[in-house]
Amino acid sequence: MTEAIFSSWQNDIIDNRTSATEARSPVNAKLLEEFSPGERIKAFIGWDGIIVRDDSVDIVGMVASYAEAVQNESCGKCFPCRVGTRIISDLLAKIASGNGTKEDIPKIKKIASSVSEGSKCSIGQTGMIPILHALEYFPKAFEDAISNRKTVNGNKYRYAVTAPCMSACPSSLDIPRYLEEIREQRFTQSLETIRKSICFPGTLGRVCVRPCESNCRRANIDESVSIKYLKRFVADYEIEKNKHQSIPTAKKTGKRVAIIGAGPAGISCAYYLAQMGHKAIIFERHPEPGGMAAMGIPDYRLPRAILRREVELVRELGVEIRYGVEVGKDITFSEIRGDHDAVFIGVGAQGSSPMGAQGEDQNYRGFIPGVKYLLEINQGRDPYPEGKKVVVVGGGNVAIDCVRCSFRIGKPDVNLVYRRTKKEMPADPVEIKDAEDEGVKFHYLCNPTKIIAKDGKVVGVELIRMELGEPDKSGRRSPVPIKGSEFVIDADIVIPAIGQRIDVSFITSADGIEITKRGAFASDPETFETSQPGVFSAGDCVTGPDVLVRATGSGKKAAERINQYLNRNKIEPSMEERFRTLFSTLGVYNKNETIGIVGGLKKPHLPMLDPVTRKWTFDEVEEGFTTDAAIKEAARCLRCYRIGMIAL
Amino acid sequence: MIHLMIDGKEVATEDGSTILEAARENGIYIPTFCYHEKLLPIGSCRLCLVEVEGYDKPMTSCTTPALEGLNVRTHSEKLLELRRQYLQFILTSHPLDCPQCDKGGECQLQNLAYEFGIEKAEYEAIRKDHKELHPSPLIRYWEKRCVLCGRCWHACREISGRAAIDIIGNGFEARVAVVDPDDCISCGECISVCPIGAMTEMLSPIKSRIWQSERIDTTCPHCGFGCQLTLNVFDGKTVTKVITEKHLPPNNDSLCVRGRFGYDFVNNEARIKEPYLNKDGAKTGIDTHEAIRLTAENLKRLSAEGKGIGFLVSARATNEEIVLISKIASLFNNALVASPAYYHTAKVTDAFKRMGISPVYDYERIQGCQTIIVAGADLLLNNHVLANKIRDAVKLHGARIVVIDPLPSSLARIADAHLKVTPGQDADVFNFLSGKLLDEGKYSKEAEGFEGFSALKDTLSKTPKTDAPDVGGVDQKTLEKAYRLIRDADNVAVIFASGITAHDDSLAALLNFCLLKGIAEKNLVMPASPQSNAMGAAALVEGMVSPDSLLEDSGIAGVLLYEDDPFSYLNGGFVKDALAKKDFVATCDILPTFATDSSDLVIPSAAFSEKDGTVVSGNGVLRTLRRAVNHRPGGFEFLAGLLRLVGGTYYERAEDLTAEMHKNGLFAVDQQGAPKLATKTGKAAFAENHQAGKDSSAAYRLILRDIFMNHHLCDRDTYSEGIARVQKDVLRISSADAAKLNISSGDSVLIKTASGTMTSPVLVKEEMKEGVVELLVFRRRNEALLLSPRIAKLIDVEISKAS
Repeated sequence: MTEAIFSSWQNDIIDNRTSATEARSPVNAKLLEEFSPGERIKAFIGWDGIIVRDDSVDIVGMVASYAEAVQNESCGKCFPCRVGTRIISDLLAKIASGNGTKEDIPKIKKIASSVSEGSKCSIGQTGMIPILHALEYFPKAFEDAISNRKTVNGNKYRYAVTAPCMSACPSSLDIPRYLEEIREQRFTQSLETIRKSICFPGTLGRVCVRPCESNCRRANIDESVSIKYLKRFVADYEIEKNKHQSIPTAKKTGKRVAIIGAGPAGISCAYYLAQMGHKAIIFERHPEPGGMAAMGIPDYRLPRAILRREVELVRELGVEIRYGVEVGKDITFSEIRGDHDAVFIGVGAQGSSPMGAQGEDQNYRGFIPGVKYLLEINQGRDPYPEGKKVVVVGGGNVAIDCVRCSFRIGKPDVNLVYRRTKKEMPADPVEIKDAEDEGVKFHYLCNPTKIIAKDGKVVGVELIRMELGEPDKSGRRSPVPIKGSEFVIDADIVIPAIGQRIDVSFITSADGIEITKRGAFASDPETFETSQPGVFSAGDCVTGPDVLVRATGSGKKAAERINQYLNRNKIEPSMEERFRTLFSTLGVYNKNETIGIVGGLKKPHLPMLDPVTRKWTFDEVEEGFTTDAAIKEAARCLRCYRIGMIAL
Repeated sequence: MIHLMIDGKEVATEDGSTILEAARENGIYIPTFCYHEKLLPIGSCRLCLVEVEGYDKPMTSCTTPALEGLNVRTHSEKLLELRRQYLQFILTSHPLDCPQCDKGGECQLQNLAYEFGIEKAEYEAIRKDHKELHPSPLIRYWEKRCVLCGRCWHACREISGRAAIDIIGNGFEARVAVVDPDDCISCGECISVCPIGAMTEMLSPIKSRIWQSERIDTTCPHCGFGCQLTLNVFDGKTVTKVITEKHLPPNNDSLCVRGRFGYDFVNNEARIKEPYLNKDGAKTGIDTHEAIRLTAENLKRLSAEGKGIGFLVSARATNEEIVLISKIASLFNNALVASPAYYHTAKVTDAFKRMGISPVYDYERIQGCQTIIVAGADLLLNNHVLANKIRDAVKLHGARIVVIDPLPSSLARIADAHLKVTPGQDADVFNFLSGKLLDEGKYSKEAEGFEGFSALKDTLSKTPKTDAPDVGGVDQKTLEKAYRLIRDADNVAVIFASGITAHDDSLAALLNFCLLKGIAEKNLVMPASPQSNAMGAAALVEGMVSPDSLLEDSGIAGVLLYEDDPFSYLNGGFVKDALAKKDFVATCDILPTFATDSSDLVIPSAAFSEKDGTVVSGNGVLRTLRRAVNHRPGGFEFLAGLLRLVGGTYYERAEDLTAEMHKNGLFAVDQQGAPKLATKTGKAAFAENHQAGKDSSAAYRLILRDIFMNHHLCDRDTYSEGIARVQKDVLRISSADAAKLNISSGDSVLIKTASGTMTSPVLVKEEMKEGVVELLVFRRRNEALLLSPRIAKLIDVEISKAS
């Protein structure tokens, strides 16, 4: 709820202009009070209307500036938007400079509605909406400007472009742009666009949880666009067609930044630091880059070669990766800190959470935490070759990866135990379906109470039946054990995969790095700085286990902050990021919007190896799009760009 | 089928169609401006907006799918108003300079403004004039006229696979600009799709409007693809431009630079106008009857003396002319007929006959192929439109491309695997592929019944399975990738050209591979054809010999060169010596050539625009040449007269010969009614398979490009100013070799062979195979041919930096 004197946001007209301050109706739009500390937002004008907070806002000036912004952002690829918004912008500028005539108003109205009706994308379609609102609800402001020939002095305006998908992407990827580039068969350009925001197009193109797709407006008319697979397509295209482009970097600054952990956050941070001319040195305890992306994601979803190649491209920018170096053992944190101009901690959350089952701390043979199990398999080892019956505990993606990998190392009997039901499982529904197809046995509503061992070797697990009770904080109904319902199932291997912990043991108290109660690194959400100046941290080791795309996005932002720190500038979010916060608070995607055009174009599905063949091999399960399918799919994008402007 | 209502009429259309397509198929008019059948929908003009019952917003019919049960309105008051408004927007950035615009009278914007009764431009906004470059010296871009419909830059990418022009800038200041002039191949696709006069041809000194012109459809003379084009003729005598807008197959309005701009030689001042005797450089004009009589007399005299007569006929001559020559030759005891078609097309058709492969095929079948192999064929200049079709297969059907070529041929940029084979070592590559198909049992089982299967299996299994890092100069990884693309595809098309046919072992290995994979069976072996009637020549001339053997044959004393100049593809020294030894040499051609200089008698011929007749395009389809410009008696009349004088029947008109060929069953009409070569394909049989010949040890291998092309565009002199503007004589070299030789683009190098030397500027080209250099020849073709011993496209050379 926001207080304002006028709002036409989403056509919900709230007009408090004549009401007393205390009688003002609240506005149903979440508009931030301040843009940055001390900068009050006096008005907002954007795709769904106008919100005015302050009497001092000059409507005519604001609308004229907005029209100019729309014209500037128009891609020029359709006539109504390219020409129509220019005519409107010219007319509004004329009025704002005191040279308007009465005839201009109906002309603007006519043109604006025709631009809004027929433009190719949302720039023109939504860009005219607040202008039409202003003419309708603030006619006097325009009449005054015309009849008094008054030149408006105006406020200070700032604007940014967003889109529902973009605003949902933790890496702020310019999705409509890269999709359009695919549609126009500019495949390598599309990849360049992607690389501006993420350094793992081939990886994320396979395993991203795609928050963008659940914010895709196309879903309002048929189905969301396959944004993820299209990303994979251009990443594969570069490899398939042998088109490697070099990434430009700035002049060397001579500054050195140490990065602890070659995971998604650390690599991403290094990638952008290198582009800014800084020397990044990554310390990684494993012999392989990628962190959880490499250790936790099996080959059948993300072939190792893809991730290695993407890391290799980062290395080519001059990033150094020291493998097999464990900080806290081979080198101390304070040594690293002393040797570098800044430090970034991105060690992830690779420890395993206990299940609270009896015997789980007994180091039985056949008992192995999920992450460790995946790590072993990904390094080509079967930790318990003699085991046949596998029981995995948990409902997340790691649990699903563990069961599916078990088939692939030849385990014939694979089980998954989850304390809630399928509906509550946090794993990707597509993955659950794939696991079902491959023949995993799912045991819902039960939880382990005891690991049963004989001669130090796992032989079974005791489970207790659960039922769903009241919803918990996450909104999911929490499971409650049913007393006396214990039962035992045989098992050779038991794999807990119920959550991960952050390993902070490489830090000593002398380092002075604050750790939160949850055992994570305390890092400022805006500046990414820890309690020690020059030491930054982001990714799973700050947030707890989270998705890959959030880690890469944070790594990139952290790189920008580190750059500010190295240049002795104020460490603060960029304008772009402030707008991102503003827009996501306001909400860019409206899933109830009726778009009003015919859909009927279904999302194509990637061809897959059949379950019987694929379950025994680590070959990639999904095949990529063919060129024609990619072009067709990209053409489904509605280009929902929209422009939001604030008056300060 | 999908059923929907459009404007109250129930219509049916195929699943996957758009509303616009459904409307058009059913004769319902929806105005469009940016929409073009050959391009994916652009959606810039918004004129094709329609309303659908139950939906709030108007939507573009070119992008909206036709769904079952939709109720569409195409002409409501609101839609008309919006369209009028959008037309006003289009006119806001367009000067009304119709009186001086090339497109006047055939402009889509004029038509729309007229249709909507727009009397004046309502809005004004001034766009900055950026004084944009022209894409090429042949294509004029009128920046101020351009309204940014988007067709041209879409066509540049989608049809031609280039990126020379693009839209740049934002908002009203967005414009089309030449972003990479080096990438422009002057194909003129942008002109062809431009709905207004923003892209025009920049060649003809005479312009003529539609109502001042006669327009005649004919067949392009420049290569064997068989493109249909329309000649725009002013005043009955001057060809002022080539246009394409009739959607005729096989090219459906696409052309290459030669087709669109290589017409001007027909208007060239240097055209031979009357017959003349040539004695020691002195020319004496004579009349046509006298020329015919003299030729007949000399040939008869030599024959009576027991000497042989040789005929060398161009692979561009019409079927009717070739038949006349065959008839003349048949009246002499000791006559041979040669044609440059021998070097590629005849060799291919011979091999096809032996191996039971049909030479008649359908270009459109490419569209059903998952993998397309392009071997030894740069489709940039030769059969360029075939490359467009391959790009379509990628764009519309996701086909994968395997290029087997040491050079970065036109399709290499979209190839999934580019096998940079060592020149001449293609046989090893195809044998590798065949061997793997056999090993894995992934060949067509039918092949087991073909003659020679077990012999092939034996030879291939005997081929040592080495762990060598490469095969024929191609690394294992690339080979494996290509193999997988081929193995996993149900339908594979194979397109090949002279890079393969130059070596018998390469051709045999390629065709064996085609039989083994079942490609031949599916009629997907598609040899490119360098000359417009090479197929006709190969089919009509029995016992064709090679031009070099004919010239060398000391038994041949009298020679008639028909529209052909052997100096343009053979070592000139060899040709000159050979012709000097003949008793009588007559040449019938349209322009002075090195051959006319060496002839005793020269007779003028007719250019393609002046001929009636037929040719057979590379896929065996019969195509028609139509006389667009009047002319004096030419080659046909000369041959017809000659035949009569040596004792044959007199044919007054070409069509009588065409009818005779049909009567004799040379052509058969297919289901669509198109006449094609009637061929009987025998039983499939594998050829004897060999490994590739020994690789040369020379430091550099020179490939001469396009020696069978350009004959009338540039010979003794340059006859096509248009092509000369864009055609460079340059040696292309790999960046690795350039570094080794310490040279960069523009530097001059000395090329030395066993036969001669030449200096040439170089162009450093990425993606060239190391150790291979490629000479593009146009003006300096004759000089370049002196580097080759006789006829050789592949020559051992030494390259050094010229001092």
